[in-house]
Amino acid sequence: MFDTVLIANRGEIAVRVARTCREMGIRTVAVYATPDRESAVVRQADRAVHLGPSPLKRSYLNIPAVIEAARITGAQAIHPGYGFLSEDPDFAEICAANGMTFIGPPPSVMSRLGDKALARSLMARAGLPVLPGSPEPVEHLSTAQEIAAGIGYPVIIKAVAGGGGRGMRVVRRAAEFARAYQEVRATAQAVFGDGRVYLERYLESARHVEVQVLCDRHGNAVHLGDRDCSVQRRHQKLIEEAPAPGLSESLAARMAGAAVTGALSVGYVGVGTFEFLVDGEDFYLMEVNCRIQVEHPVTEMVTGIDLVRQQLLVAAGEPLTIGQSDVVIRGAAIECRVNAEDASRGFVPAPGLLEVFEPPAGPFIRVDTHGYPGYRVPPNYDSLLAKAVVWAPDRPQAMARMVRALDEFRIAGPGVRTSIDFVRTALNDPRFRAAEHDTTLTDRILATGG
Amino acid sequence: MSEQTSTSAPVELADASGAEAAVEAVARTAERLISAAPASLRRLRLESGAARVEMEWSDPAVLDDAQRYAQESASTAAAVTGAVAAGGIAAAQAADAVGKTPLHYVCAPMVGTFYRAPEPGAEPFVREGDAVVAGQQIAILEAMKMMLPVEADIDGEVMRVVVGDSTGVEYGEQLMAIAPRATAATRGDRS
Repeated sequence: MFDTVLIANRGEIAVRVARTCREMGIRTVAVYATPDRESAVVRQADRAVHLGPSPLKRSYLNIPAVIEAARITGAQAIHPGYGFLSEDPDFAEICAANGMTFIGPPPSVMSRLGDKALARSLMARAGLPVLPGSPEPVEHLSTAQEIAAGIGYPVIIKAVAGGGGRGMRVVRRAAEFARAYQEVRATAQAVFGDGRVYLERYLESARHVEVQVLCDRHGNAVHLGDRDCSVQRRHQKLIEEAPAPGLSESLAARMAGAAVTGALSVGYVGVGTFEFLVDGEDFYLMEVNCRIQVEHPVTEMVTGIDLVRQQLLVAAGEPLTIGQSDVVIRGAAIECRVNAEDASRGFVPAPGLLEVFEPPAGPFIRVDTHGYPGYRVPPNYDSLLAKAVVWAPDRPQAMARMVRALDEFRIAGPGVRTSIDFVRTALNDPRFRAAEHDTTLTDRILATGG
Repeated sequence: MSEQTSTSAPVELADASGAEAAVEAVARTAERLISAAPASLRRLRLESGAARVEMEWSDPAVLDDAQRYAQESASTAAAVTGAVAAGGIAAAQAADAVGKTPLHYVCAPMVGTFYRAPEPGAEPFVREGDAVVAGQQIAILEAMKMMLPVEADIDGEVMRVVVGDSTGVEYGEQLMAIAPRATAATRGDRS
């Protein structure tokens, strides 16, 4: 096992990774950009290295700086968290070239699955269901329009390099296609440096269900059940739960089987997520995420398996000690994201000084956060401030517990707003309560003013 | 997020027959691009197969930014480096900072290894007591085999080299203390 691990991330995930490292007796190295010099992980880690000023390319995305920080501190492995460098195959390669272990899948697997169009065709070949769409990236508007007409509207235009809810656009009518197509291409080129896009049939009212997989370097793979992440706003998840409620046993089993088959077909290593859209008894692969997910705690709560620990063990070359029969889903877990955002003003970021920060506590509640009283949420980065996670023997009790947790959560400071009220509204929505909701729930809530 | 602008130039080398030819072509292209580049190289990616070179270099404004930060942080440097330099990198510059002479610190523009001399065993770029002018190279920072020259950003006299040779430094860490020329003049050390 590694002696020292560098955590190439910030915020709650850096804190969360550091915790497991400490439990395993691994020394931790935090890295930070100037605005994060007072951050929780900098305080908690055994060492902290100042990477650079606030712009991402000079700090958290600055590969030479991260590699040198690892070298200086003697870190043998780098945990990339999510976002940032976590799905950058170049970075994974560079780690290896510098004798460091990248905690994630092999670079070749990441680069194939990171190309969403290629991932789609690889998985279709492995037998996973995909939505009707363009077999590969489309290069010309006229071709794209022909394909869109063939698929039938609505269609979704997706950037090959997209992710995290960015680089996609739904088009409902042929007349709107040309403009949307050009815009997505331009955005994708600007944001991801890759303007290629592909098309897919868009399902208006589907559920977002994903399957967690865990694979070692020795060809063993298990699934750790599913999660429902249908409560989203503009493809940003707000509430996640495990297991996905209301799935028939056969559908859940088919999806889990498909995910394991898909993972084995590409030689996947580490933890990964297969995201599906579920429409009735049918499911379709959306994409594969080659990293730890923001919402991984709900899986941890219902399985009792520490996913970061598994990542570290697998990265160190250990074979899985968990067989599929060891994975038992118990009870129900829900996670609500607490973002420093003002839901009443279009979810604009509302960062600032946390004069009051009192997370909920009590039985079966877990809060993953980098917040503390007196912490100043910097305006430079993602607005995720905390994840409130609860477990209960069943979903109704979990919902009641989450409402109680959100009621207890006190966050206040000049200019600081959070998404707590909004997620509470969603949680109390009859459609969510009955598990009859889909990805349109937040739009419906916002349209009716709650 | 306000990211610095950078330029990247993918160069496709079609039909590079044989590894040697490809490597040679790559080297030639890299050489041409490096000499044409407006600033120091930040990233170089080579791919054989359908041979491909990708280079990325940073905005020259980068150094100014780092130095601005370094100056801003000079007063709080004790607190910051105290928290992070557990490895004993930068120790007691606080005395200087609050002491009699208002020293100017040249700080690390990036994470890397600090070298005082152009190569092992060679004479250091500068020694304590040497006069330097703005723009003069005073050290090297190495990050991932890239050598980044560290330059004095004011005229003055090198009072102290804070960091030992071949030491790992982090961003913003103080490297050298320089007494600005005006200060030196009033002390009568130099005309």
